[in-house]
Amino acid sequence: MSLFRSRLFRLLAVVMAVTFASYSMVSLLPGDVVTAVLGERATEADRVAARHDLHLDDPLPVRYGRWVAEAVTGDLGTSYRTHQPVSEAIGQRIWVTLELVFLSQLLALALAIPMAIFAALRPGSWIDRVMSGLQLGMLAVPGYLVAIVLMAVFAVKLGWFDTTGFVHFTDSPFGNIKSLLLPSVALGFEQVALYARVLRTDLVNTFNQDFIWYARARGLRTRRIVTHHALRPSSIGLVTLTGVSVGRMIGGTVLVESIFALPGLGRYTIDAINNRDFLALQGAVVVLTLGFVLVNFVVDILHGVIDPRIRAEERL
Amino acid sequence: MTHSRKRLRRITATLSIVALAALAAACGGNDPKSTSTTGVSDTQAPVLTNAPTTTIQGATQGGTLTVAIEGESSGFNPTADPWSNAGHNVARSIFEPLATFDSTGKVVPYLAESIEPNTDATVWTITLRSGVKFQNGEPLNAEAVRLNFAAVQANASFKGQLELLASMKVVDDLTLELTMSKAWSTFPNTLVGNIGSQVGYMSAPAMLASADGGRNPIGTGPFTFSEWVPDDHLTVVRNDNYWGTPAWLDTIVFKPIPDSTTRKAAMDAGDVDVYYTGSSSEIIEYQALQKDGKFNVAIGAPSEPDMVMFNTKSMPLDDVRVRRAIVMATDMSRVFDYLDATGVKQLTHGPYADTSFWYAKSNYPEFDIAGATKLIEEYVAEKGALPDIEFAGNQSPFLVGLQELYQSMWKDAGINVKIVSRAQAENITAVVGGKFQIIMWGGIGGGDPDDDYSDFHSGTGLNFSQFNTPEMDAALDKGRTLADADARKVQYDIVQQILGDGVPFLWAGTNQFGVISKPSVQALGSFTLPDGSAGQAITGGQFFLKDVWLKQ
Repeated sequence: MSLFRSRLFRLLAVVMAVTFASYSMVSLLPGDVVTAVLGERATEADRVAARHDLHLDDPLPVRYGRWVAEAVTGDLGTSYRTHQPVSEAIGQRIWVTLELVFLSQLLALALAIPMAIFAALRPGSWIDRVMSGLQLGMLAVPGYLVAIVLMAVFAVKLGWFDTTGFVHFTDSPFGNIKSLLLPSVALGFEQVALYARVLRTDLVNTFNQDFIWYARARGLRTRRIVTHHALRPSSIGLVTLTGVSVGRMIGGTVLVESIFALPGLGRYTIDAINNRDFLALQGAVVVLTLGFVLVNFVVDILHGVIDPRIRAEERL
Repeated sequence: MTHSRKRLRRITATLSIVALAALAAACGGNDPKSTSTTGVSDTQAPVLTNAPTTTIQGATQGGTLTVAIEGESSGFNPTADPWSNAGHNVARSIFEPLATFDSTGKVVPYLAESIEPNTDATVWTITLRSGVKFQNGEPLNAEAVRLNFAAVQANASFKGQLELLASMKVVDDLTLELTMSKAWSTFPNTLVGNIGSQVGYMSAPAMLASADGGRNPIGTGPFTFSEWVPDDHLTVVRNDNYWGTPAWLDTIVFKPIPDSTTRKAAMDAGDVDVYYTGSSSEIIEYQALQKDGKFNVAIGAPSEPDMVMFNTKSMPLDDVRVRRAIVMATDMSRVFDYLDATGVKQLTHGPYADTSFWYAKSNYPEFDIAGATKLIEEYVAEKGALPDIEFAGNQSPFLVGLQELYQSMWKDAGINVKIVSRAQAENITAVVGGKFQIIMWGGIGGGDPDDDYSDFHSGTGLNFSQFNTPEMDAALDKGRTLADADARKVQYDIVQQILGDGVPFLWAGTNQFGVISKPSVQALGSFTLPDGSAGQAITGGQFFLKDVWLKQ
């Protein structure tokens, strides 16, 4: 319970720090917000009025304090551009991004874990070297290129998928998965290599531990040794990396959602930046930060579950 | 040809830098006398009919058309949400303008039956068609138009579209009298529903009164708003109570696809039926495929030119020899090759295409590298070494490449420029503040010369090149008071001569838009006016879909 409380406290501190930082950064973005709102042809009087209406005359801490006071009630403000409540807009888009990130992680792990096990069981073999080379290649290819190639081959050439668009799960579960498969592969492509390399290294180390030799001496089959003895102690690095990668993936959704025209939070964020729609941007940052911090919160908890020594240390 | 006013174009001005490749503020055509008030007042009252038009042979009703658009809009309130081509293409299915272009580019009434000026164009009378209803059943009457104009005037971003409108009076149910603060001979151009002239679209009063109106648009158009999932799709369905000739399509789905590569892929994969592009190379590619019957390509008239703007108050660009030398050092054929636009873009020597009625030959320099070098040598001999000049653009790698091409050509004449790549918003701020030297710009020229009044006149605060002369101001002032096109052209010839001498801009060729469609999409280039005559279906990157039908 103390582990949970300390992590929760850390979560709140991070959210406050990040939201203040992002609020400050929005103020530092180049380009005048009022020009973005009114266009460069607005009169000075209109500019002054707009500045007042948007509270841009107030000091930054005052504006931030007002925003926090409203945000804790669930009111993230209203986009000056679309006049839509930010929380409503985020609510419409969050599931697309969540599903995209979740599916990407799932695909990445589903591919990376067997690859890592396969390579770790034969360290230094030609299979291990080929996989290592393949993973290096995967790390070197930019995500947008993967997205474009996937689209060109599987959507345009073969016609197996639609190039763009999102189907809600409630409308068609199959259509939903189909609409997100190519974007998920594009988003998770790099992670496959990362996860596989980390897990492979940890597994190789674990396979050299005494308890594994003991298991082998007992005549246990390799599959059982891997699944029941080696995988769990080897997965701390992978779990940590998976949590950290959520942040990278959230960043990647900006690109992937634009390329595949998905109505997600990444695209909303980039539109907010381009239009200096600071309340929309702030709302998006909060949600994305919360998501990232929560995932890492869960990862921290999982560390304790995976390795009892961590729980013991926390109690000291 | 006629074009919209451009008050909001500056918002899209920097976007139109991107338009070198994809987006451009649009307007089509190069017809002459489109701005003449006689073009409006001479129009015969149309015969309204609900019978299917006889001009479209073999058309069948039904089907869903999916249209790829290049971006999402903030909302669909014509009096509050600024639209790019994407927004206009959606809006044109739901809303209709008071005026539009006929097939020759002349401004003619649409929802209005007539738009008549008094003798000095200080009072305009709009007479509406009878029997026109909004999709919610409200009538389109003089009060509704007044409310639309009042909403525009109440919006800080939009009120510039009606800056000369001093007062309005509802004369009777269908007649609205507008008094201007001074003569405004090109007022009907403002009503065509185009970039910078959204004031022409009429919204239902109930929609204007609703805080949520922009997300539940109600117009008089042939399609009724059905559903909008931002960043995913917007759906409209046929308005079966439409006041005019009903549309053929059951449904149109507009899909915002921001990435240009994906838009093209969606077209190639058959996921969308229609898309449009400002990319010359794509137009050329699809024209080749059209010969095999795989696609149809409709090309709009040339629109406003690409351009590079000089700050004529910034040393050394305050010396006309430097500006002339830059233009003379620019081999436009290399620019067109870089853009893969040879055969599509047209050379320009001023704000209007050389084929435009408004075009006047001037002293705008031709490519002459020896002459450019000589001018720079003269400058150096007189004023000392030529300092490096800052050349700003946005951060698109493709456009940075174009800047580098300019840079290399200008270097041949001894002009060194330093490329600065910034976010669009930063560039706009720099231009507004006069803190630039050379910049990739857009949104000037291509349409009616009066649209460029604020760009060229000294008294607007929006003449960002800061170049003008008293003679140019006088010609601009006089031009907007005249009704006769030929008399106006005399004034704008003067403006072009002065621009040709002073060279505040490097004109970099016309923009062309291509609308690409599947072979099953019929009548994309057709737009029938209420009187049965032909209207201009494609204006720059904007088009009407009322007459479009799908071949089964």
